[in-house]
Amino acid sequence: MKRILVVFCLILLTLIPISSAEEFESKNWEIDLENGYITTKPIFVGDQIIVRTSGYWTGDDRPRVYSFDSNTGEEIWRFSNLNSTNHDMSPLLYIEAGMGACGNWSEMVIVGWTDGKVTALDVSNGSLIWSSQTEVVTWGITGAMAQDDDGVVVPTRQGLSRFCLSDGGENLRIDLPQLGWRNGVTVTEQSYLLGNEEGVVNIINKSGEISNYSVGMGKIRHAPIQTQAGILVHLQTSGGSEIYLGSELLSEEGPSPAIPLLFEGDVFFATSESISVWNCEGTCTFEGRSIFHSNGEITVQKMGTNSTIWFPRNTPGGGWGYGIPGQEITVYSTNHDTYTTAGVGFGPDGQMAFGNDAGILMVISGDQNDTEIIEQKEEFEKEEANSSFQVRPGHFLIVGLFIGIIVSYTNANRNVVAKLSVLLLLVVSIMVLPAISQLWSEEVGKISDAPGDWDEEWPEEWKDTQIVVFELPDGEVVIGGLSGHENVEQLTDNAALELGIEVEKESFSIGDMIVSFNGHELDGWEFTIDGERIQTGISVAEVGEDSVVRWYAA
Amino acid sequence: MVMTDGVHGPVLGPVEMLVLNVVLITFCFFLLCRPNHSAKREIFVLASIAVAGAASRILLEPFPNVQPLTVMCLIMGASLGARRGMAFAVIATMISNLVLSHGWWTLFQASGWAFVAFAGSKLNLVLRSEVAMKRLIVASIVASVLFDWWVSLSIITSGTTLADFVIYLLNGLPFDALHAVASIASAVWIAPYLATLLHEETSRIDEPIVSGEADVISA
Repeated sequence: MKRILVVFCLILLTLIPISSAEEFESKNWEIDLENGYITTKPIFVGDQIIVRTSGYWTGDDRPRVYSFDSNTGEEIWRFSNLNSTNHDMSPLLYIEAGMGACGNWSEMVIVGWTDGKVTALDVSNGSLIWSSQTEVVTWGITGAMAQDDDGVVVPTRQGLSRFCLSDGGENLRIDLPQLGWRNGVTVTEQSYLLGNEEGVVNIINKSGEISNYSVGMGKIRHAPIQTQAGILVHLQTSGGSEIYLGSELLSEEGPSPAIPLLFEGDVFFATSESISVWNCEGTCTFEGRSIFHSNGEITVQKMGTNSTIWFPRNTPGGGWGYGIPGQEITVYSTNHDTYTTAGVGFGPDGQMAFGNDAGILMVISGDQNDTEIIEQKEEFEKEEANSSFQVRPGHFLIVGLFIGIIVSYTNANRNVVAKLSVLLLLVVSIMVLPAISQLWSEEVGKISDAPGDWDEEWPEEWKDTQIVVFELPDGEVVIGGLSGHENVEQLTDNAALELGIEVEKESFSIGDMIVSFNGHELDGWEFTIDGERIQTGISVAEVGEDSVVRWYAA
Repeated sequence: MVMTDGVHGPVLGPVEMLVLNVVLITFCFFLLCRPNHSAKREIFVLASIAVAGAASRILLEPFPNVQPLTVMCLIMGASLGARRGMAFAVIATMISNLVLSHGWWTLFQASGWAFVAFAGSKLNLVLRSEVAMKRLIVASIVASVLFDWWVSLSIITSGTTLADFVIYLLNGLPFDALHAVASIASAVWIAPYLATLLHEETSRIDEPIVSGEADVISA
């Protein structure tokens, strides 16, 4: 009898998690697109969800745009650009049907490509409505486009074009001296705002007149933010980043800035070190900051009067943080977490779509109780606008315990003194743990730092830039002074392009691999970053602004 | 493209999860069904404290690595013997992980706390209802740190190097220290009451003619 009772109770334990898992699976869906990164947010259009990939950058496969039924995950259509040079990171732009001075147009999604093409696709079946061509300088379009009445404004590699939505006819073309990369365009009442790789903000009057101002030594890789206080720019510099209001430096920030977001007068920023918010109604004032690593698209989830800001986390642990900088940031995790820069897409019925660098698209229903995504609460260090000492419940507890210890001691109650002292030690330990943990982690990080790979014979100006070394059979080839590349694959591709080295790659289930440089296959190729061998593939191995990547025969 | 597996090591599929559950439950079954003379009351006491142990993990989840369960395992092992103590550890882990998330790491947590309970049964931490406090505090500190390191093994995958693992352990030292401090507090605050409760409850149960259940495990 006892055995039966024990077996019965224990079996109950196993059944509970299994039944819960089945419930999850019936509500949400996910798909591995097996077509490279998802670096831009999926968009909901009616019952469809549309997402683009940026490709593997190898072989014959090319980036695509996909449409799925948002409720079932069934694929509706897909569109591929066989001429893309990859790195397709221009966000999709949904356009409602309408009419204007240059004609009528139907509902469409506009896609900017790295081969300079702008394609307007029919939302219902993915067919091509029109296509226009812009210039290519290694890459074509990588920044965010914007609608301006009956036209779409496209930030091209070296300028700006405006096309009529009805037929794709170009009705404005501006050539600029500077190159752009992920430099989205902002449409204001009178002008278009466009940054570039030389830290210049171009203000282009809608009739085509150009004025500009230089922000600083760095790169503008987002659409400038027009606020009541002025134009805000998050400039990526060699040592980190800087936030500017016009030409005025507001704040020095961490490296690899994200694409900032303006929402109801607040501007949200992110870097590899922290996320922050500034209020720019009238003047720009700092509101709060939290420690969090985000480099991609910041998005807003509007829920009635409440809104939540989401930040993709670009670390191996991945996931998405949500909350307000300066307050607690909560992380959403999934079973497929990895590096993530794509923003979260939000549907009209509360659905959410998540895409990551592994090319996996996950869509969850609006019912938060049915999500299979695991919500994890993590404490991140935060700093509020008024960062002076603030009283917290833990402080009252400490004071109470102190008083209890003193009273017990005066009553000669040693047993209680010991108990309360231990409790006090525990409370203090819990309160100081985040700070100690971070300091300790930084110290441990120094132990595990890469050994470095600097050659004293290299030019001094290469210091603090990205360098690539190819140890080819016919001699070592080196290029330095590069910048702005986020992973080994991007850096190697660009270095090889500059040096005229032919690169052959192949895709495997674990990622892309180099097959040969200039036809030299040998026994395979391996790489180090700053002298350290890296376990991850070339497309996920991150490089810093001063990294040395060395390729050598295995 | 390399996909990470999160901070808890490999993600288990449904079949693997079923195997894990079966292993843990079979383990509990064999621990709880010997010796045959145990009264239902003992099982009831064990189950109640297991639920309390699980609840303590869930309630204290906001505080990183504050785990009274470590000291509870030591006391349960010391008071009820290795078999019951280990069963308690596995059951409390499984119940709490139903809420805190269940996976590959459950195997390491359950086995880790089971070993702590086994160690508790061997260290003479409780004599009748009296707790040997100094001995318990030392045992709880050592058990906390060793438990953390044991559970850390769950993050190892085929791509993890020894250096990666050492760095991981080093990063976790502040959390190990907090676990140890929390265990000292648990020893001071909880252990005497738990030991007394167990003594009172189990003393009502007839003593078995033959004792030494722990010997079965050690054999």
